[in-house]
Amino acid sequence: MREDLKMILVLFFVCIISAISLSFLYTYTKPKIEKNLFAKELKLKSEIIPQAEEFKKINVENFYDIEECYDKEKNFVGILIKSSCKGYAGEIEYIVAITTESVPRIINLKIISHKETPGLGANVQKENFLSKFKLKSANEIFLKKDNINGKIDAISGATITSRAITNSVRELLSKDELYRYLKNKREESYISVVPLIKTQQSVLKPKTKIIEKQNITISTQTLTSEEQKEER
Amino acid sequence: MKKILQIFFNGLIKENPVLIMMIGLCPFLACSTTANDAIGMGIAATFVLTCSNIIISVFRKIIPNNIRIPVFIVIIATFTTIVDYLIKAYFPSLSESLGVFIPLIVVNCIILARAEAFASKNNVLYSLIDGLGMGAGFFIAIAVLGIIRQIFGSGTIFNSKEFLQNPAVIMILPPGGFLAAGLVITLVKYIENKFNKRQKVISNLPSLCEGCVLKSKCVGNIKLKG
Repeated sequence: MREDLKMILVLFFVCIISAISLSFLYTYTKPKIEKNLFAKELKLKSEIIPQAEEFKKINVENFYDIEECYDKEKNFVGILIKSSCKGYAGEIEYIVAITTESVPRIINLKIISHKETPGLGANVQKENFLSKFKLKSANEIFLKKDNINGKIDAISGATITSRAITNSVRELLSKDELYRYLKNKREESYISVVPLIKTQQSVLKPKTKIIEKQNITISTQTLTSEEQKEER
Repeated sequence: MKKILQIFFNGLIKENPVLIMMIGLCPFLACSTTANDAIGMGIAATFVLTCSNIIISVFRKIIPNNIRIPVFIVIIATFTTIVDYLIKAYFPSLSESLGVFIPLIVVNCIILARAEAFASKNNVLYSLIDGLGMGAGFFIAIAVLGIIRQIFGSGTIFNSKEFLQNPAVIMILPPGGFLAAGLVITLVKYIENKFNKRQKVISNLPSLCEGCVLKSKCVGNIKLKG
């Protein structure tokens, strides 16, 4: 009986001491851990859409995690969407920044986590694959070997991975929820499309000037293209 | 002093946990894809091993024999969680690359084996030295494997640029871990055998030992009757 009681007491006190010391350490390190996570996320966001200064989380019809990005002058510069797809060896989590045009294009794409084969599938996170997505709209995001309009080269030896991510991004960009959200957004605030990528500035600039002057006309213009899409 | 050195080098060389005793192979193979991960894992495991050895040795007379394993596991788990929090707070990039393997130090059999075989039977100083020695043995083994696998598998070392044009990708995949570990262990066994041969000549084994299976292990220590 005495032996049994001793066993219970010893195990009880060992567990209590362990729990108390861990709870102290937890409260001490928790702010630091959260700060690290926050800094990591902010760094990722600023890499993916450098113009943006302010981020606002919103909810769109049970759509994915969406964040609106505003620059210094409170211009609506883009949308960040977090999503994932099934790759060759497991889930590939990625984050994508898209423009606010009527037909959204990709500003930047980044892989957050993946479990692909090192040396082959793991090359999806390299810049020379992801940079091919830049400024492409949904109908261009195909692998070259899958579709004539495709503009994306598959990674050699990792077709399944490249196809998975290409298809997932394309589906994300052509979601009706996204179109509806962009349309509503444009109607309520007459947002002007700000050119984002420097190399494209020369092409886009004259267009945007007109847009800023005549907000209403563009919104009707864009509406037509959207209506076409909805009909389809 | 002599005993302390003996215990330390026992863990480091003579009874090296991974290379000689072949325990703790899971983190040894899984966390050695890059040298940075390997060194981080080595330090984390050494810290947990040393701390849990000390605590278990301090309370070795209070802990009832029947529940020693649950108590050891609770103590080891506490230190593992401490390491996990500290790494997450101060080395976020390391915690990202080691991922689930830091919490899995709990089930690293080196630590439980040393708690059971050494710390629960020896005093605090010896347990501390044993933890450091065994930890150093594990650290050196995993660091060597990590460096080999990173050089041949990714063509880099620590955070340097690629200096091999076409690295052998298999070396950072699981099969490469077994290959590299096998090569390292072969090398260690080769050196061990050479060392034992030299010892045999000095010790002048009795003629009866010729052909005995335990010849290289016992070196004539067992006294022959009659």
